[in-house]
Amino acid sequence: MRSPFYVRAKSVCCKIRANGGVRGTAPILTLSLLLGASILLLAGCKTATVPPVAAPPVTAPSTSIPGSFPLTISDSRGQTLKIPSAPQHIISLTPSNTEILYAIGAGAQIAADTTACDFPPEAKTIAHIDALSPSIEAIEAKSPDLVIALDTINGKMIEMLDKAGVPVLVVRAKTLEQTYEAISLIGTATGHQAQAEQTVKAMKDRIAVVTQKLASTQGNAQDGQPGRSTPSRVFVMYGDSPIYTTGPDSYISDLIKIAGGVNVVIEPLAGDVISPEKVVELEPDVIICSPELQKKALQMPGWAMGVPAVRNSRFFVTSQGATLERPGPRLAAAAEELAAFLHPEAFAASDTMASHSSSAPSVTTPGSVAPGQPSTHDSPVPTGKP
Amino acid sequence: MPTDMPPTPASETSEETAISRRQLRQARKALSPHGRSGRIFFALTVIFLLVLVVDMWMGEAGVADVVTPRVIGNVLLRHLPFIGSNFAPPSGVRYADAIVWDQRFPRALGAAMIGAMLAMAGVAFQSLLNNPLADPYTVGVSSGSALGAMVVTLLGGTGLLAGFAQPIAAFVTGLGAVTVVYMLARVGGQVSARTFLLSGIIVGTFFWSLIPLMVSLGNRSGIDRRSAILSELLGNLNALGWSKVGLLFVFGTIGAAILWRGSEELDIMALGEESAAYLGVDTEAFKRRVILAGSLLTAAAVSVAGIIAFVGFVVPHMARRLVGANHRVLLPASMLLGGTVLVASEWLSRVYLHSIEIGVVTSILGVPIFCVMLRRNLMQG
Repeated sequence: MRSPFYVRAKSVCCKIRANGGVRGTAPILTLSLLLGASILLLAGCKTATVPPVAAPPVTAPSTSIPGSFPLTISDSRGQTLKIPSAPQHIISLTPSNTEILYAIGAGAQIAADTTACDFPPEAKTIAHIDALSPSIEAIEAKSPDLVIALDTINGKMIEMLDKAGVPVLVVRAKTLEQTYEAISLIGTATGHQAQAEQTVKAMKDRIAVVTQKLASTQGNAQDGQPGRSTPSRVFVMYGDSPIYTTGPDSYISDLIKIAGGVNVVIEPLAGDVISPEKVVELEPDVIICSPELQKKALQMPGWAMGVPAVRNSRFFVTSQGATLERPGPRLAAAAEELAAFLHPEAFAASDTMASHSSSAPSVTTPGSVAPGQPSTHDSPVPTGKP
Repeated sequence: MPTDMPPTPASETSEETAISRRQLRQARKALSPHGRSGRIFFALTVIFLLVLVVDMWMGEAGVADVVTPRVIGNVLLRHLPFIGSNFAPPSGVRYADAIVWDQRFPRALGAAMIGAMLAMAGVAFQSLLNNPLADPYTVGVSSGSALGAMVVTLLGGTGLLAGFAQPIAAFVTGLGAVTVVYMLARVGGQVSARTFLLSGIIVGTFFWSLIPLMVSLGNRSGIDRRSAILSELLGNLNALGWSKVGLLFVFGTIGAAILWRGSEELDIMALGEESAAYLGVDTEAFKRRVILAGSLLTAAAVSVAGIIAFVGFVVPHMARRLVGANHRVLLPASMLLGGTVLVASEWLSRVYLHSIEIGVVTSILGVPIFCVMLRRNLMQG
């Protein structure tokens, strides 16, 4: 069979004059050189377990950073971590951890955060690591003395950083309780234990007020108690193809419960993916999603008729000062807003959200941004820094 | 044994065959431009080493300020086998060793090996099938291997068998795919090049249709596996450490050895299957051997880096233009060129393109080159 390929080979053959010594040693030599080089390198790499380079002398922690260093703590995955002195070059790999760091007054110790970190506003002014495809070189080049990661998001990066010998504090913040623990853990690791406890206490206080308010006006919001009306059925929506949601063991579920509703997703789903049909079957009264997703929800086939939330246009969006997307200090404000959305009667009866918000205990860390309130500080320098 | 043909029954049968073989040997020598090949090899090696150095040298903006050439040189010196301990570590750059020695170096080396392996597989398939359109992708091996690698990722077995589970699964499914192709194309004990390619495309398409299924299942199995599957789909060198380099080395050496020993037969196959059979090549057995080697090379590359298109396609053509069709020269030239192309793509992607998946870069670079070569071939008639 004579294919075009043959013609090509033959034309080469004809063009070039026959000459001896084609089986020259050059290619073989090159090949063996390369192979030899790679064997050498492989042999070299086995013996090359050089101990990590000694840390450059960190400026001695001044007395204004409390906490007892050096300390050994165990992070959320149970890994013990030795922190020789108060970290001064922290890299935060998730927006939630960045918010926590600022809230507990460790903002000045952050060397870099991610491109997704937009709260508080000063988080946008420091160096960024790409949030979607973080490059490990970019992290290492900053010579961090502590990297703070979230186990649900940074899985692969944590593995790579561990391998490279970079100290990583992994926090888990799936539930509300774990979010409190994460704040405490970050506080301890950065030398801001007292402020962290204060932040957690402030959050708990605000949430307690919400619970109390709902209980006093209705007495029916708590599950297990018979009430005049059934609690609102809430569905959390993250994407549209596929639709991501949040199962029962999550901080959002906890907050929905606090705000006097129930998460319609009562069983954990594989990968938190749910089918549009299942949503219709669950009949949510309220959908929590971003404004962009609202349009998608309206266009979902069958939802306009089948889903009460879409039929009645009941979508919940948090304000600037609150968030349901990041397990951090702003969750308390989100709980207030969601409770007011689900039970306007409980909150309209006594006072407005605004006055309530200001009457609630807020974080008093000097210089840091109190959760739930837009920052008015133009020189955000926490006093914790020398 | 297969390289330097011992007298086979075929050559004993007639005097004619013996004469043709002698003539062929001379013709084969003529396949490669003499005199040029030495210089071309020198140039290719220099360019390859240059690209390798540039790739290790440069980092993305922000990293380059910290990890300077001085730091890189220091790290490399300190990792030299005997004199390394005489040098002091660089001050101020805490993770220089991790960046240079544990990440950049193995990645550059692994990229070079993957490029070389894909190019070799491309040469093997093109020569074997006598078809310029053949490459690991069009004969169905790439998509088959990708499927196997993805299944292992999906089941969370990437760490099994000391990391060899994935390449072995990729090899098995890749070989399975190409076996189906082979069976489909086999008519009356013969496999024609044209039908082989056609059935390769059909089987490849079938495997491609299973890959979205993998992605969809990956969506449900957690964020880590999902991103791993996506990077396998687009080609990614991020996780290339020393262990992967070792793995590539093992598979690459075996595949290269098989092809190198069969290079004379590959030359003969270029004259057509019938002629090759007359000249004493057991064509069916040889085809199986080359397909095995090509699958081995492709499977290792795919399981480490995912699907990297066009390297196995364009590089053999470029190499053939440079050094001719003699496989003793063509194979090493393709290896060098393939390594150069992939390392250069890796460098472009990491330094300038925000670490975009490398398969995207090779496609962007490869398609225009292929178009130019296609036009040239058409013009030459």
